Amino acid sequence: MDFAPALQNIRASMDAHVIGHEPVKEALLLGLVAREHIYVLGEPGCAKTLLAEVAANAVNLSFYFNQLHRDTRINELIGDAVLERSPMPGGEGEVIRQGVAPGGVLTAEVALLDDISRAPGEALNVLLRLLNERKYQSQPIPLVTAIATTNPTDESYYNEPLDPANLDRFTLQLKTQGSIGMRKWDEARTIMDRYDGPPGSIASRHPVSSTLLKQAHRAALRVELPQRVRVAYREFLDTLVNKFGCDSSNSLLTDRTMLVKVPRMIKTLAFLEGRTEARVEDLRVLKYILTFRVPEHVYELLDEILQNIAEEPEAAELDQPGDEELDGQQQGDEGAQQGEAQEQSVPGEGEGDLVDELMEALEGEQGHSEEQKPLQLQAKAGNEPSSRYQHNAPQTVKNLEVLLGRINGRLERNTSESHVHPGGSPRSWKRMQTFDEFMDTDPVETAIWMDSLSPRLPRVYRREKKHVGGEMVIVRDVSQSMEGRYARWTSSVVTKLVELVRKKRMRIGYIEFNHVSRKYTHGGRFFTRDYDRIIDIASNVVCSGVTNYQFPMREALKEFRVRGTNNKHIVFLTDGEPTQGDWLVREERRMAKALDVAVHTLFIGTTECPEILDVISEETGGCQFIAIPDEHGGLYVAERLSKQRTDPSRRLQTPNVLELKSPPGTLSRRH
Amino acid sequence: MDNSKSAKRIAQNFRKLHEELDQYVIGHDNLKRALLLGLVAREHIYIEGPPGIAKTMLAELVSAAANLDFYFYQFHRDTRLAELVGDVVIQREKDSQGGELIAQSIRKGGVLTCEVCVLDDISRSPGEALNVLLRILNERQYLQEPIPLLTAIATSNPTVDDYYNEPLDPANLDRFSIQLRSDGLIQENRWNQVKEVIDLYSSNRFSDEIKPKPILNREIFDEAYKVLHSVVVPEAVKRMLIDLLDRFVNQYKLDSSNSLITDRAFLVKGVKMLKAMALTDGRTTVEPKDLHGLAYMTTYRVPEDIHRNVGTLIDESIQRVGE
Repeated sequence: MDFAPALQNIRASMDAHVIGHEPVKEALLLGLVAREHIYVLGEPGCAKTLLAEVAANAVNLSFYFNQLHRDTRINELIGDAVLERSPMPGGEGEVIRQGVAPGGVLTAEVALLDDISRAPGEALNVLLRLLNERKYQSQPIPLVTAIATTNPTDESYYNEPLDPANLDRFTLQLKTQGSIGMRKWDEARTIMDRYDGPPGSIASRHPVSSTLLKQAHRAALRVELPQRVRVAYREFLDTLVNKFGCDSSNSLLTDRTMLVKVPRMIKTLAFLEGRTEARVEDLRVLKYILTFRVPEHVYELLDEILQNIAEEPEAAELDQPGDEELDGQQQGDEGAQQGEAQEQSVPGEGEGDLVDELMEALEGEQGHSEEQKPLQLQAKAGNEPSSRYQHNAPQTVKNLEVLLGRINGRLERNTSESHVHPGGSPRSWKRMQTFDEFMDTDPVETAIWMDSLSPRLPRVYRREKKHVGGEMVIVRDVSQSMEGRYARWTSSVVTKLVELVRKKRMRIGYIEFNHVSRKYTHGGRFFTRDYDRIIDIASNVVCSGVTNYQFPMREALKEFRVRGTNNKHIVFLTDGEPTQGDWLVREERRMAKALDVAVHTLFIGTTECPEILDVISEETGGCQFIAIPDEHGGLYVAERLSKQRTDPSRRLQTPNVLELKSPPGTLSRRH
Repeated sequence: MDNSKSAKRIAQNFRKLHEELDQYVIGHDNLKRALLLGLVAREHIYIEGPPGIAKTMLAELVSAAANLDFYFYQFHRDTRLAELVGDVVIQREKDSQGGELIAQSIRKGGVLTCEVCVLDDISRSPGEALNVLLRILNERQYLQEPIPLLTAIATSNPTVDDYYNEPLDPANLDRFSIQLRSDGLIQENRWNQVKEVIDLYSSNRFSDEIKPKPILNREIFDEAYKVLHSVVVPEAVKRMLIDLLDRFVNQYKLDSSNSLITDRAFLVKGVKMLKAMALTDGRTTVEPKDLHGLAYMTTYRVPEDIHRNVGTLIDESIQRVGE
């Protein structure tokens, strides 16, 4: 069966109404044939909604449009709430169920959800669940494709970014810009000419039937995916994970999307181009999939990565000549990735030191400024295409979520308070106040209430939400011992921490220390939500000097003195014992307790963790973590048991005993 | 003699079940093993991992292939108890004074009538429904009536703000004897398995729905459970288990502040796990190597660094007592 004319038809409808925007058009077509959801982000007025409408009209599917806004209620999206009452079969009494009279997204085949990020959390949650499961209360829904559009997240647009887990529901993801924004002046001229008249109808004269679209879907799945394409795709994934450090904290590479859906999308692209066998070039479909799934700087290099893989799929992992030392090292180790893993899993040994030297020599050659944006700069500096993104790839840090998870857990148990919020979870009951709350009523009470109406309304859920926000100060050791590999690891830890804190919308402060402490402020303010700036600073460090815990702790605590919130955290990153000042930081510990600041300590390395870190965390109610090199050359973060627990011989050593053993403190004299 | 014969047959059946799972899901051997152990020992299972790693799929597959009465529930923030246990029924009666007597009851369904239930994204529902549900799971009865449930398989995403969930508290977690953490093949750098998945799903074998063959039935599970109780735990193995627990408590200082070492979990259910390990291997006597089954229980019961080393600790205990 030839699908070309039908697909051409959809394409022609889009071309007739919208000039340019080839990527969006292609993605819409992909979405309709592959039956996947599409997410389009773009500034207002760049034809994203129009294109979606035209595409939906070009196929003969039932269509639902909703402009979401801050007060969108869930029943606008899925239909009206109903209370079902039926006699109990074969018995006395009445069965009562709550449900909806299906409408909106529940009955549509194509749904256009405009400005999706403006919807309030409670409506959005249900909506996204529907999109994901394509089921409502165990019943399948007819939805083929949902097209969601959104404006860039900016305070002026009153929206919030979708979080990554929700974004995964949209297999296809795009960012688009207007012709003016892209400086396409030819297009701009054509647009002016085109709309220089009365508006035309967007209804298509020859809409494609839903049966045909379904057949096209099956035909697309029958496209062959040859071994060469599979190998190339695997190389590509390997590159993302092992050369660019894409992991669960900065990317969203789920097995389901990447291993099951992507092969289907590759096939669909080949199908749209009229082929029955996919080619390596079809991997370009990843451009529509990875937009928000990998960090931006990786996405910018996507074309180049794909090109390298297309050119030499088998050899993409091998290094190119250009740096003799590195070449030699990698030949010895069979491939860069394994090599790195070996080096870093044996820190302190001869081999590791050698590699360290090599890495530093390399960094010296390339100049210090490159550390900040290693990927872009290297892309320009390299000669051979595949050597461009070899060396400064970010280190992987695994399991850092455990750290934020624990901190989060502590907030919820101890200090964070709930407040009533329509987007919260049902926690207890209250009286219904408005009929907007009808969905939340207790069905039995409502049934009774409806039989004998009274001014006393039925019960509804009281929804509560925990306060988020609060502050975190990252205190980072930059003493001499942190030079080299440790500095890179710590930078990665800080980057990941900032990325995680960003999701919680906590304010953040950043302090580096050796024998002095250096506080970063911006416009006179220490706590900030300018997360990118902190990441920039943290990825650009010079390590020297000795270690003094006192000053940075004090600086951080001083900042907390003027903060009134409950939610106060310091994350203290170090690799060694304090060598200067009061090594028991007694005064600072006292301050932290008085200010109710939790000090979490993260010890980096394989040597023995200084006992004082345990004491600091335990006293202030913080958590203790250790980051150890893992077999893949990255770091693995785990919770640390304090030494007093793990080592029986130290069981009796309380912090007080420790204090007696200490050298004469410097602080007590000052007071 | 009879027992050892049926143990062999049971083990063979469960191997078939494992192979059936391999048809659809590549890798994740730990998960598959844990699911089978849970079904044999009639213990509940908790699986935690990021989205899209086939947690839910495996849970569904195993229930379908085991041919048990199956109930799937997707938790959400507003999960209500009625959705889990059936429908609400009210009965009204006029009394002599002209008032009305209203009685509320439940028409059983969902968790109360199934043999295996999949509780998907369980940590998304922090409300009261969860508490009642977990009590039912634990007691295996509702209003004094036993329920036919063999195993509840709960899945959850890691607790990060992204997923709108809240961690289960330790007491609730303890109701799931078997606990696992799992990660994606991509994130775990398992490139050979990545290749297999791509190959499997690039072929045209699966177009839309995946339907495994129902290969077992309830009788096999009932027989397995009967045989399970007659599996012998030798004195030496008991001493090894005690040695391990002793070292947990005295050497690694695990206590209620950092761990969940309950008598119920390790002395009752732990022993059951050992038996299940032996039985799925076709034996009616527990061997020291079966102690490694305890690693399926320690995931969220001991601190993470201990759990990561629990295999070594078990081997040490086997050696210490063996000598």
